[in-house]
Amino acid sequence: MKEITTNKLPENKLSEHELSDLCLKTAYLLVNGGAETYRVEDTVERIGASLGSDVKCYVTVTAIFIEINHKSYKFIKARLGGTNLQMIDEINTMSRQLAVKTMTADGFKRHIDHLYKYKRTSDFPFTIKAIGAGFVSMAPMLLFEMPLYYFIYCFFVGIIGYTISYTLSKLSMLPYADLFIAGFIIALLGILLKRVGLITQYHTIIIGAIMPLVPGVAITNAIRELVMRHALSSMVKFLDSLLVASSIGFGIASALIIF
Amino acid sequence: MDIFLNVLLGGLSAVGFSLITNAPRRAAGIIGITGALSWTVFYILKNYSHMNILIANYVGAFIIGILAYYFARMYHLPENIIVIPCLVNLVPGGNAYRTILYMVQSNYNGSINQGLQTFLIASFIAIGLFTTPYFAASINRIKMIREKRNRTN
Repeated sequence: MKEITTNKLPENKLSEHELSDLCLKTAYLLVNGGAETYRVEDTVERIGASLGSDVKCYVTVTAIFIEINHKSYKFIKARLGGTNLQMIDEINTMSRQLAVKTMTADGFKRHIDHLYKYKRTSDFPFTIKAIGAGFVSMAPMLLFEMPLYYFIYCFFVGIIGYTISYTLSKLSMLPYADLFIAGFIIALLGILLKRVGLITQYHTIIIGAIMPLVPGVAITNAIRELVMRHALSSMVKFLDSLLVASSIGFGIASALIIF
Repeated sequence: MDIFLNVLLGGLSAVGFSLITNAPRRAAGIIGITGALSWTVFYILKNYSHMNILIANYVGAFIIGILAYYFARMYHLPENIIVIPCLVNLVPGGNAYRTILYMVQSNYNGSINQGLQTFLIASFIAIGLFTTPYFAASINRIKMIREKRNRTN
């Protein structure tokens, strides 16, 4: 069925229905990858222009609206969360190729369909991510000018905290609970290290170990969107990052209160 | 030796966060360089000079902004991919932690103090990040107007 329709039409020309589907899927993937809303709108409108149609796109964090050639409208529900910078880069590169005509509309559609179906790109294995998290948690130790053995403890505590957050977020649908538990266990490990007598104070260990859990993508996007006057999605992301930060904080606080 | 350790760990930490967020592999080197430079300058300004910490954060974010602007156009990457992993180092985690810590210890004055400091640092990072794009956009606009005037003349 798909083969017939694409054969009938001239090259680089999709039917209106196909084009709106393509735009919706692209916008959905970009939003889920963690792109800023104004960039999503810009990319989709540019894809429409390079395919020869007038596309208008409006993105809030939870919904994507699309209008094609002033007559057909569509919308799709999106969801907050998820970060995949590889996805943004891939779609960005493809839309660039589409604009300079080194990629056909057909090839672009096939790629997007593939990405949409599996919702994932090439990903790093978990062990490498965990080691990355360990390095992230080591940097704040430099700032407090700690002796060298603190770096090693912080490396491992950071890895444990990230592992817990990662596994729990895969298991459960409740969004902020995994961060609360991860914060709790990080603080617990810090206090434990002090009780055993390996370190003299646990504050720096905790500060370092929560660094991989920081909502970096949400904060950065919220600021960038606020400056570009996309206030609605900016506020949603800001509130989300605030909730993430405070759930980590309250996790730590409850560990400090109990022990 | 101290500076060398800073360059190394600043770069490694930025690359580490890029692994967590699954950044494209071809961007890893760029992220490493940007993260190492911005972190080292931030560290030197904070620990060796008697400047206000807000200035150190501003300069660190400014360096991230200018390098990201340059590299994004050179390698055709979205700016966000470079900015996000490098910015994580500058996040005022220590102040945010102390806000919660003092709250738990019923030291509400200290808690509000630290909370305001966190907010101020975050704002200055944002300002630093947007300095370069703002001036670049202004300069481009001036160039465009001048070209148009030349064409009409």
